[in-house]
Amino acid sequence: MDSSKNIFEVNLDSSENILEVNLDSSENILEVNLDSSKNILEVNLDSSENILEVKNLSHVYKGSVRGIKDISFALKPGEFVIVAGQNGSGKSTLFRHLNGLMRPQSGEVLIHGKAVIKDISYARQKVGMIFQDADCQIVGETVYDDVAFGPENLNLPRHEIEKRVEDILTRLNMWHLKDQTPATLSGGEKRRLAIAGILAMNPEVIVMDEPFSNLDYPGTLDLLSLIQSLHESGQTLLIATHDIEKVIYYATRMIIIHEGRLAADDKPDKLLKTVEKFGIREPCASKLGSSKAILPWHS
Amino acid sequence: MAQLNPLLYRFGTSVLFNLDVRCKVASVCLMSIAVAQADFTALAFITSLLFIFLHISGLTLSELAHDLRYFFVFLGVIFIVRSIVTPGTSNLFTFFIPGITVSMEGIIDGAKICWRFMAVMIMGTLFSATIRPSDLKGAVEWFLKPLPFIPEKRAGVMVSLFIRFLPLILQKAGEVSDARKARCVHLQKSPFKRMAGVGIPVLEKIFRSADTLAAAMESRCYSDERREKPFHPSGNEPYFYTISIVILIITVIY
Ligand SMILES: Nc1ncnc2c1ncn2[C@@H]1O[C@H](COP(=O)(O)OP(=O)(O)O)[C@@H](O)[C@H]1O
Ligand SMILES: [Mg+2]
Repeated sequence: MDSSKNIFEVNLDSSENILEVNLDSSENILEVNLDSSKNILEVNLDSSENILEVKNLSHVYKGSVRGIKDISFALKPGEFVIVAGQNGSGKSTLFRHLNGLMRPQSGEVLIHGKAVIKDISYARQKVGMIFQDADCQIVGETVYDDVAFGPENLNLPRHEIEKRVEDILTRLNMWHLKDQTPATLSGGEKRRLAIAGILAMNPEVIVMDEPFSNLDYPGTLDLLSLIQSLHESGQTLLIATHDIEKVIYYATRMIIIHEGRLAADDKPDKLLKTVEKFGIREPCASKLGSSKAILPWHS
Repeated sequence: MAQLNPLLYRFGTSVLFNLDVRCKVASVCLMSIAVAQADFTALAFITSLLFIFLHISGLTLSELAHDLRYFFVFLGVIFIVRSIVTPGTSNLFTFFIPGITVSMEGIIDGAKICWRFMAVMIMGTLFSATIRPSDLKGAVEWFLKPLPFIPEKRAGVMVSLFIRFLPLILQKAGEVSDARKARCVHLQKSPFKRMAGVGIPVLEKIFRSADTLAAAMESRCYSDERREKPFHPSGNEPYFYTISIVILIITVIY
């Protein structure tokens, strides 16, 4: 049953003895998982509203035909969404609307039903943004100062700021670096710091624009494990990338942007075989026809 | 980045790092006035004092020289111009063009001015290497608060942003210059073309990075009304005030 507003899905997989029922009527989600191998019956009834809603968003750059056109989607708590698209497809332009760095020409972005442009401070606190260029987004003179920057802007009491910075640096294994100058950190550590700075503001959604660019292998592994643990802790994530292979294993959903328009929006495994026509490289495992189409990038 | 820019703040624990920011600002102001008045004896004294501070703050002379190398060109120009335009009785030699003569007074005057500039630059380097831009913002606000009609928060933001951008500018200039060297820019003989070749890409890069930096700061709710760190006097402030004031008085009286 799929009538645009109501999705009813039953998966009975006898090989693994899993019964899964998903009822999604845009605002109400009923999820039943029966896993007899572990004897677990799980019922999730989630009637929570969307955290973030993008409605018919358009923004075409002045004197150009490029930009984004008529994009709509909504994010539910805990989702991990990849926004995929080739360079120049409009991912960064889309993201800059999510916290009010850019204003829509038409359409709107809502956070908990509230328009971003009506309350920009609220939007910026709820939507934490990580930029592509790690060097240019670090504003503190030491690691500690950089993490404190956001909470200081929120005018939190001094003891609360100190507590948050300490908690987050400890959680991300960076407490020993607290007095270092950010310029001396490795690529992976810089990315970690950028995320720490955002986490200190307690955002509901973390938005990352091409977080893997310019990262070496250890840096990529480091970032991947951080992203994975954020996702496991229930953090809602939106990650833009032209290279889906690294994160697709963990993602719960994929949105494809092509020439400024939303070209597809579905579970990652459903879209795998179609990505190449949008200029996105299909992950190796899937290309080689692995029985399990999606494998972790690093095993 | 192998070598850090000395203008970049780095965490340290020496006397200068722990000094209350307000005291640092006040001392630098007083010392700058003193330097502007100073003659050779006073300059020698102030410079040796600065060298001591450079040393205990962990900045080396070669680092300093490397990063101020373009500034030396500027000093050279000033020196030449000064020695030519200063009228004097003891003309050392005259160029072929009549009227352009180099005098002893001119050379002494040029040397004094260059030395003063140098002292101010070293002071500036020490200042920006040991101060956090965010603390400086607090200090600027604190000083401007009693003055009427001055939006002290705005001024504080401007000063701290400027200091934040400075290392970025130098870093970008270094990158562009390296990229050009890698493509044999030394074969280009015209100094004007060489300058323009560095200047234009550097400006473009600076604007781009400044754009990202501004967006990143905005994304983290940056505003005038943010909670600043409280001031932390280290207890050494009275010494610094005394030294600066004494130096100023001596140079002014001279
Ligand atoms: N400031 C701008 N002015 C004009 N065109 C722009 C500007 N920024 C981006 N564009 C164009 O808009 C399109 C989308 O850019 P962008 O959102 O950065 O894509 P992506 O992040 O997916 O690589 C590109 O074709 C780009 O050239
Ligand atoms: Mg982009």
